[in-house]
Amino acid sequence: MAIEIDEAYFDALAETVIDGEDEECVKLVNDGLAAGVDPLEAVEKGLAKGINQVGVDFGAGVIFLPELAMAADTMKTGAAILDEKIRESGSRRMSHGTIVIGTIKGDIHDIGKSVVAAVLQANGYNVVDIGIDVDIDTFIQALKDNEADVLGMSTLLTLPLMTMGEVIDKLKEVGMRDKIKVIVGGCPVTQEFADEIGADAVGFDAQDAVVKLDGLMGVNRVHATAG
Amino acid sequence: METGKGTLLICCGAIANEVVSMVRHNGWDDLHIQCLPAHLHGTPKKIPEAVRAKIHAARGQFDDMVVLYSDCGTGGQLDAVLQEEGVDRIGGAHCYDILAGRDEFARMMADEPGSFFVTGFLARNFDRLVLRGMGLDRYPHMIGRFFRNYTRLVYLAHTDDPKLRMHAEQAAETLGLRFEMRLVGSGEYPQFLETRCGLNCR
Repeated sequence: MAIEIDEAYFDALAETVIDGEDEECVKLVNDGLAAGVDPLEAVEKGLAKGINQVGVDFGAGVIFLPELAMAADTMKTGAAILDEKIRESGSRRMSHGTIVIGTIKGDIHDIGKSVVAAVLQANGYNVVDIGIDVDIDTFIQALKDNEADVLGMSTLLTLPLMTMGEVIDKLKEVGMRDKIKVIVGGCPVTQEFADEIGADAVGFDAQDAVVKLDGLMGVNRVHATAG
Repeated sequence: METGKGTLLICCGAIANEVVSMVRHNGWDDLHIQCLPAHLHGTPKKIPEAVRAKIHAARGQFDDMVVLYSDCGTGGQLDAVLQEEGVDRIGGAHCYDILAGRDEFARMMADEPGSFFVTGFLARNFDRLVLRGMGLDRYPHMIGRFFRNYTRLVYLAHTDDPKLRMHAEQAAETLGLRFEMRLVGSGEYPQFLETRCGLNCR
């Protein structure tokens, strides 16, 4: 039976992300596509709505990190199918800019960074996630290869923190600093630290990263908040 | 001015066993220990104000105070609080690098960035502090996702206690990691207190 593409459909799609239900998400996406849903609309009204809600809930302490990670994984699974359809149709998702994001050398944590990547993607950024334990030259090369507008660096550890500053120094050295906005994040990262190393912004959580990045890129929109 | 009230050591519950044992072993009767809950280890942003509250509560009750926290993921915020309060701390980025020894810790991390460290306390309370603390008890299927980039669990053992070793081995098994034990004693804590408080180690 063909499903109806209405607000209830988009709400159900958002719910699959909130609940971290990969299989249900894939089924709804495929059913929606069969029924003629606009893939762009499915991302924005369904997946993005779900991941934004989860981001707000996590910031408010309502849910735990595994639930956030599950939601991010579901969102990425659904978005991969929809993005493929968008490409096939020859249209493009609106992009506020391209961000290269990674966890810095000496740190293998990826949950927080992956969640931020998913939330940014849901909010209209083209995200190139280059993984964990990323050294300075790899960051620089990825920025060049992807003609990126923004560099995002993350760490959960105190010891590798200064490497973030070294990446920014390298950006200056190769003459790219003026063209690239830099946003940093992770447990030990403070505003004072970001100022010290010359970053443009700190994302204290995934939703905050969207707000800060929107500010840097001149994107005007209403942001989701708790309460 | 000393009044015989001794020195207060403010430390993390996760290293309480190591600190208590070290103080007793050395007969440092003038050192008094107060710990903050070990679960703060998982929410480091809360550590600076929790330490400040402990300092305020203890002010006037001791001749001196020393904090045995490292930066512990506070990103310099603990140091900012301690500067405001006029209290100093042992150095270091994490309690693990003080326990293992800073050079050795740096070497271990350089060799294998995917090293997950536990103390005896964390090994014994692994289910409560790590699994429940991270919400993984409710979503055990996410354990592999969370720890997929780790390769080994390093147990920084204060003593060769078979029971604690067993807990640490079980933790490694739960996380699907290779187990390693390093007998580190009290790490750099005794040397720091010798210098800072003018004490002698036994």
